[in-house]
Amino acid sequence: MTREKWSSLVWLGIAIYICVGSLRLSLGSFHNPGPGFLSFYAGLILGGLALVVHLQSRKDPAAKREPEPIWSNRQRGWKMVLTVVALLGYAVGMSYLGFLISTFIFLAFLLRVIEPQRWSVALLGSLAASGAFYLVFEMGLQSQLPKGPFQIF
Amino acid sequence: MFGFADLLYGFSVILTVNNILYCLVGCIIGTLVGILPGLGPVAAMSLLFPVTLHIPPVSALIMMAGIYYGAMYGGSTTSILVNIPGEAASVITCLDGYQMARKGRAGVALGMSALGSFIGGTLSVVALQMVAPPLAKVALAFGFPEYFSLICCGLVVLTFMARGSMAKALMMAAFGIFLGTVGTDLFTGVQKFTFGIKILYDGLGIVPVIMGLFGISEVLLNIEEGITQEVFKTKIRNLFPNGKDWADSAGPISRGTLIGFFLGILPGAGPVISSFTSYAVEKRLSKHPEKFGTGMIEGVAGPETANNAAVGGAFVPLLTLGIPPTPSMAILLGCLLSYGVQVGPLLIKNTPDIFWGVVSSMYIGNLILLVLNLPLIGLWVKILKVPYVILFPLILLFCVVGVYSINTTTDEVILMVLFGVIGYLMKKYSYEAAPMIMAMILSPLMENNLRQSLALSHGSFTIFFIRPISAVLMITAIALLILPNLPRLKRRKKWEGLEAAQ
Repeated sequence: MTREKWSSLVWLGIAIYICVGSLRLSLGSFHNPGPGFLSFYAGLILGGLALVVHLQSRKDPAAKREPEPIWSNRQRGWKMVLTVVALLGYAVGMSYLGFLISTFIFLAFLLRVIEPQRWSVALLGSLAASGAFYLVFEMGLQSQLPKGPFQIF
Repeated sequence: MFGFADLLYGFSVILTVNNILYCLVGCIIGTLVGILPGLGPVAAMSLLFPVTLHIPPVSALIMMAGIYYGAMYGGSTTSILVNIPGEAASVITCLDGYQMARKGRAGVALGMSALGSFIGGTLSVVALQMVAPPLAKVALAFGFPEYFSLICCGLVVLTFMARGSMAKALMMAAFGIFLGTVGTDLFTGVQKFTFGIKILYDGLGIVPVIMGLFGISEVLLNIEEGITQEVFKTKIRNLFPNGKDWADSAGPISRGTLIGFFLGILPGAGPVISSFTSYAVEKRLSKHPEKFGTGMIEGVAGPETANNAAVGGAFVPLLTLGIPPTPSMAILLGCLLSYGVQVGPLLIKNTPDIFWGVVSSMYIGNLILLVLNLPLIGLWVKILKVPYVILFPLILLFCVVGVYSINTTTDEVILMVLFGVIGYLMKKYSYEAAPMIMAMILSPLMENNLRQSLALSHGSFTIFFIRPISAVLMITAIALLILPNLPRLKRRKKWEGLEAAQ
């Protein structure tokens, strides 16, 4: 319940942002609704309900207790954060390094850092998987994956 | 028999080597993604979306449909043997399916699940072929107000059936409606919440959002919580249930078929809600509700039948009204639109090869899946034994390649990761993603129909209540919003919530 107290406040903030943004877009009239019409009312409902959930959670006796930590295991929590960072890096790097190189680095990172395997397993596994994906999607399904330095081929 | 000549025409479409091959490929991929946790039919259909552009539309739809219902068959295998749902519609099967496996009845659970799925899937195709053509004729009478009311009703039904708090589910639906409005305004050309980002000009892509919220978030959660994927060590034998098992399952299978088909029709409900509803109904009707969760075959037969029957139901609004009731159907709609097929009430009349071809393929597909999931079950179990350490990088890779291949841009991959984090947080804080996704998919349709209706009525909201079909739908929606707040029902829902949490 304590989690709800804080999460509902976040949603309330989002709802206020949506309503203000929609007002700027113009609501129009009921006869001729403007571009911000539907999003404004969606924001209003979201905000109203977030307020209800927040008030309900305050009534709950559990609200007085300290909120539970979001991660039960901090080390694994950080691994999750690292995975997100790796995914973002992979997405950005793919345009520059191409699919093959960036996929190899990404997989090797996951297999070595996130769920540690032996170097040989991490490197050979990453090499095999990135090659297989390239063959299936680029050659087989013609998915136009980014080529990077291999552009000349 | 009703539509018999049309059905024969459908079989003449499907019974070619190419189309049977596409159906087989769809069923195999569907079973595979159903078995692998974190990779659902949406991910697989998105991956194959670019490929479908190179093949005839009927073949593409046959394959895509095969993936969708194939995933429903495959999901139960993981639930029964690993106690982890292979995909969302098989969550509830874990409760009794895994317990049956622990008691040495894994074979019967898998067999009943496949047979129930086959019966539910096949009967729902019969219902689809009977219901869709007359409904398409009725749908010709649907105007802007009726479409708007139908979407409102569907979203309210979805939030009404949400597992947790209805207020939170409604919040997610409202947020989904907002997300669906992002993009260029069709009436004025104004940019709405696009922040100058090019990929947002055409609106938020459904595929990156869905794959982020379901695929990526699931993997992130598993990494954080540390998944222990252990296939229950048991010999899979006696796949065919005995007389008592059939007697116990006959009721759940027939009720599951009805529940699945009719809930599947509603926009937003789909296979997930159908399986939960079927389980709740069986538990309520049972003489021994306290035994549910200890390995009751009814707890496997009902939900597994219902989630397959819901697939047939889900095709009804897509093929008659052009409304996708589930995210997977939204991808199918995208597939139809990319071929320039006119979706809506005239689809059956103008493109009978697509409608009857897909319907007939589902009969054949269900037969293929029965073979894939009974005699070949051992093959799928071997795939399940691949450790999660190997699987999760591949799942992430499938998601990235799937999203990238649609528009060949890494910006959508970044968007997917962002929604993956949002989905992870939503899971942590118990906010359901399904109402958000469905509202997002239906929001552009909703906005268009709302604005057109209000323009027609000169700004009066009474237009939604003076037209009979619209009025019925609106009143149903309002009643469903009020009902849970009545004191007696509120207590019961709270009690059910506690029970579900336990």
